[in-house]
Amino acid sequence: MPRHCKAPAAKSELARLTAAKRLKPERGLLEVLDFRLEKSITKGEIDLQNAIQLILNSIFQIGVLALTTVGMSLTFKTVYVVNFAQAITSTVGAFMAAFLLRDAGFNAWTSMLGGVAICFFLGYIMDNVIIRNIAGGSGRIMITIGLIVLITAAIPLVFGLNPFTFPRYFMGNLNFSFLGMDLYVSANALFVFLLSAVVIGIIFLALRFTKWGLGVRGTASNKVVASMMGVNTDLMTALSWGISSACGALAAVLYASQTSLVSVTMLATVLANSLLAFIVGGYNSFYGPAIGAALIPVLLVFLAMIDGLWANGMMYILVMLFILVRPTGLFGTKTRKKV
Amino acid sequence: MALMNRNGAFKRIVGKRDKAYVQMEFNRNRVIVADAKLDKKHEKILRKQTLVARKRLYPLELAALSEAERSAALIERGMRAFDFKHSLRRRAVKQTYLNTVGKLGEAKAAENRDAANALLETRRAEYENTLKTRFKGADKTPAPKESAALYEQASKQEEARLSELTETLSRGKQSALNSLKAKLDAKNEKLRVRFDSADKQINAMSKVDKASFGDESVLNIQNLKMYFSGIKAVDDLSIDVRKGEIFGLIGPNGAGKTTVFNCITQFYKPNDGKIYYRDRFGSLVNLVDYNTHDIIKAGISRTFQNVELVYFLSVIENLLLGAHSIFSTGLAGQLLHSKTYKDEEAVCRVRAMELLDRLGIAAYAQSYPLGLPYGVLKKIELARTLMSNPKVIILDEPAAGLNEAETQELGEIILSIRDDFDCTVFLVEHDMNLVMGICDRVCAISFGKMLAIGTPVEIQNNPKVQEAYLGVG
Amino acid sequence: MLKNDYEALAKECRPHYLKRIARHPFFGYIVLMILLIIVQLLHMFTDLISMTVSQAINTTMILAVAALGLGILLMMSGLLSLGTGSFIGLGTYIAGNLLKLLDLPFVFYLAVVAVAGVIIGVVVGVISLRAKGIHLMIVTMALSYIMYTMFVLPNPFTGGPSGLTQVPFPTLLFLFKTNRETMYFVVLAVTFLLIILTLNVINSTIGRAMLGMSQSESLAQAMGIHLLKYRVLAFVIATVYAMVSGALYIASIASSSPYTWTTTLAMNILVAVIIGGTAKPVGVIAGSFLMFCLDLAILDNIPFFANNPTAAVFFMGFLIILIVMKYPGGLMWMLTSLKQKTQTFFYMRRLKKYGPDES
Repeated sequence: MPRHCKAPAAKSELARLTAAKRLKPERGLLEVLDFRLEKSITKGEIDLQNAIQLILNSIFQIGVLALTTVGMSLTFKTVYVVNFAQAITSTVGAFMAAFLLRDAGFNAWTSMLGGVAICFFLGYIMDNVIIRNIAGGSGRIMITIGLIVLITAAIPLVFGLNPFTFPRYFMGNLNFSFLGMDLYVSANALFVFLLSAVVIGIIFLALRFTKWGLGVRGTASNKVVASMMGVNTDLMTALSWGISSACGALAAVLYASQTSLVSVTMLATVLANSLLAFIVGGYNSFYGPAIGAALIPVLLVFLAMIDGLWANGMMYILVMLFILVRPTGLFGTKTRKKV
Repeated sequence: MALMNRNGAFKRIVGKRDKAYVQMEFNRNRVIVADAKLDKKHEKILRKQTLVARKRLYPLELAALSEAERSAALIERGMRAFDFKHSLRRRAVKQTYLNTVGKLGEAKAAENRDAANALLETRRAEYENTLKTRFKGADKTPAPKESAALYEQASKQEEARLSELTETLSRGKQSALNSLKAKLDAKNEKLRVRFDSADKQINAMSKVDKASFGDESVLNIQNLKMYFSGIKAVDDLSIDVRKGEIFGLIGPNGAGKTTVFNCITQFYKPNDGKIYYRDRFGSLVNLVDYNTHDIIKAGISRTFQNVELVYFLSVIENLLLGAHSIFSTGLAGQLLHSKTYKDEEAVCRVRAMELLDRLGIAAYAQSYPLGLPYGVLKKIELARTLMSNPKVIILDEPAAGLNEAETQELGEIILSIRDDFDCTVFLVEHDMNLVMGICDRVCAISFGKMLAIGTPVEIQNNPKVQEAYLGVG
Repeated sequence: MLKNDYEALAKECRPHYLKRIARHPFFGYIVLMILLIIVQLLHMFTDLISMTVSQAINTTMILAVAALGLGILLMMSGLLSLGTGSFIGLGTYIAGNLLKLLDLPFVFYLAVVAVAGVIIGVVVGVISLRAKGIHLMIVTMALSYIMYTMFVLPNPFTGGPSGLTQVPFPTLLFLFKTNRETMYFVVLAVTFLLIILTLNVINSTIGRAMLGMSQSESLAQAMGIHLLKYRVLAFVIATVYAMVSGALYIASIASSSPYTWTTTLAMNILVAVIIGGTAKPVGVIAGSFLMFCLDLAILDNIPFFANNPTAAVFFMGFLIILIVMKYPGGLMWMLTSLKQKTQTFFYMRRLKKYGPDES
């Protein structure tokens, strides 16, 4: 039986079940990290124009994913912990921005700045109060999971149960022609992509050329030696946490502006994908994760053209095989243990 | 491919033979543990029976006494119980005095104490009086002869019963041990057949050139080459280690000493060269055919440059980890803690305690390695290497981080280990006093190449070695 | 003193028999089981214990079985896996379909599921051979996601999105038809057996080898430990435990929805294990009770938390962070230190009152 005959039935089934899922009371503690099947991916014929158009449709995802992943890699490099709470702290930023916009009379731009600033302080305080006081190892991963539970429950307590929305920064589409193909891109998506690229560029430049960047790289390479050389490693890690949270918050606000959706679980898929990007790019390099983040959505688009239902599954299989073949990732370097 | 298959078959047969050997060794030791276990059980039975006998004899003994003696004995018994019961109160009085002496002053506290003691004394006297009124027999005429005779007879009977019991138990133990021994011997015979056939196959399969291998050699390294992406860590090195000697490998930092060890224990697969080894059954093998985890089964056991102990396990359990290769119980036996497994572990525990005792660290047996002195950790590692009945012990800088006295002690320990456990010691060391003091032969290498080999004195006087250590000039 | 005065010997023959019983390694677990049985009996014959509490304890014990397996994998072998949820799900589907098909003693289903667990454990262990740490986490996450997709997509084996429903309760030894309440005791019995098995694993060569492997692979190899073998073994144990837990789940709850078997559940179990802080059943079971039972059995009875469901979750998150901050070694560390503190307290009191022991 041809695939296109079967797919619609399955898709409607899927839509029904996602609806049922939404109706289900959210009792699970870590619902945030749940995988959901992508229901937004549409099936189309495999041709070049379609492919490029689909990639253009997903450029905002590339931007958001890259921002989240860069934030995650900053914290991982300095504190050696995979920050599972990255998505949920970012969500706090989106909520804060939406709250400022709706109830405090800010406009869309200042509320974005407000959300990012609040998240910066949240990250800074999180490191100062909690993360620094944990001995390390599995305890720190535990703390990030505990933070997920805590913040997920705290958001409805603080912001109330009324739903939030967020407007787009730019309306309309940009139409253009490329190699004889008529393509279009949403202006807001392009803005999201460009802003993310600029922010990531600034962070990389800062890492390369500023004193802060030197301190962070020193702390990442050897904390004890860096502190002996006069680097204030505590400040460095706290700043890294702050900046990583701010990046996440920016990503969340931009994501909300594109999808006009502000909810507790809005960044769940982004978190899962950013973990993959983090590994695929190579977690012990600074720049690899960003490139990994650009690759994952593109890969997803191509896989969705093959089979919409199994797109994520196939991506996971591919990533799994990639990890098994090359554990260090695309840009990672291998470390050898001395016996 | 053919080579791979040959290696696979070779490894399988070696595994078979090692398993048979380990089981035979275990069966030999199992009797000792069974003996100790039976001893413990029998002691318990004997103690219980003695109690029964005493309980039976006690009234008879009382009856055999004169009335006065009897009441004196009963009063004494009562007072003993009373004193035991009230000992805490006496201690409390004493402690209260000490506690309150600062607060109330010497005189007042002493007064309180004396009052309390007086009260206790009066209570004791009262109780004694009660006992005296209860047992007031004062008749000093001896008891009738019949009861004394009865007691005598009964005690003799009980004694006879107990000695008979002892005899039965020891006879039972002997027969149980004999039957166990017979059973184990039968098992061992079967294992021996398996072992012999595997041994024959191995000897037929091993392609080691016997001529190039001296009769006294244990380890024969020929033209060993190990390159790390262009860096020649070990370059064309040939060493011959003889049986029962202490062989030292010295050289400046980065000379490739540890790399040689890692090549022998197959942590690195050498690029080229042969590592021939005479295993504990006399058959010649090429260690390059072995997996890393099979090396210890061949009888080569090593320590590490930086102490590698499992910090979640107590010291004795670390030693049991060292005995991993001599456990032969299967998965089911371990999951269900079968009798064989328990016996096996008991055998290993006894051995571990012996080793710890020998190295003078038995006191640390139950403690955890984290936070113990460095010298003790080194000794634990040394004891761990001995757990697996090794034939060759490879020590990677055993004296690093030890002070002079400890180093000297270590040297003596290594010498005594060599003599008592009948093994060869191969060590890398920077401490020249130790190397020159205990080694029979020393090999000096520099940048992966051999400089000289010979007795310590020869090495000391070798100009090449002096140059490598002190620089040209 | 008379020759045959037997008091001293009597003391020697029966030295503190209560203490000796209390020191038996299974003592605490037996006491726990008896307590849980009493709770269920109270639920069955009186109104003191509500249905919710009994169900919560039942689910907790089922998930604790999976957590015991994960404890061996994570705490003994140092391998992080997020596939536990999916394996429990697979166990429920296999056992559920068999239960619908055949009416055999419950042991049969457990055996089938365990055999399936061995096969899948070997496959997963070999697949994830090269991965370690965070890579292993991603690999198992991917496996978990693939299995989740298979559960959700409509097919007769898993029942698609609606899952398996109306699975009949199993019989015991061809005789007793169980129901929801009596399955509780079966769950307890299986849990107890697996606790003993776990203790045996920890206190044997396998356990030592796994600990050695997690500490240093080169040390393990030098001691003659076959890394591949023990790694696969750890995966097999974890998978078998998870699948048995699934079989218990479907037998006592009678339905299985694919939305339960996500990485969320795996994360919850992971939290339970790490909060427990050890592979020993004490820590794992304490962690499981904290994660899965505390809110349903205790917090919901407090009016404030009953009215604000998110407050209970908030409190749980706060508790996790507090425990990890105060006791990085987890609940096990907390329990040990509490025990030591009480012992010291009583010893000091005794010392203050009676002075040092005379010997």
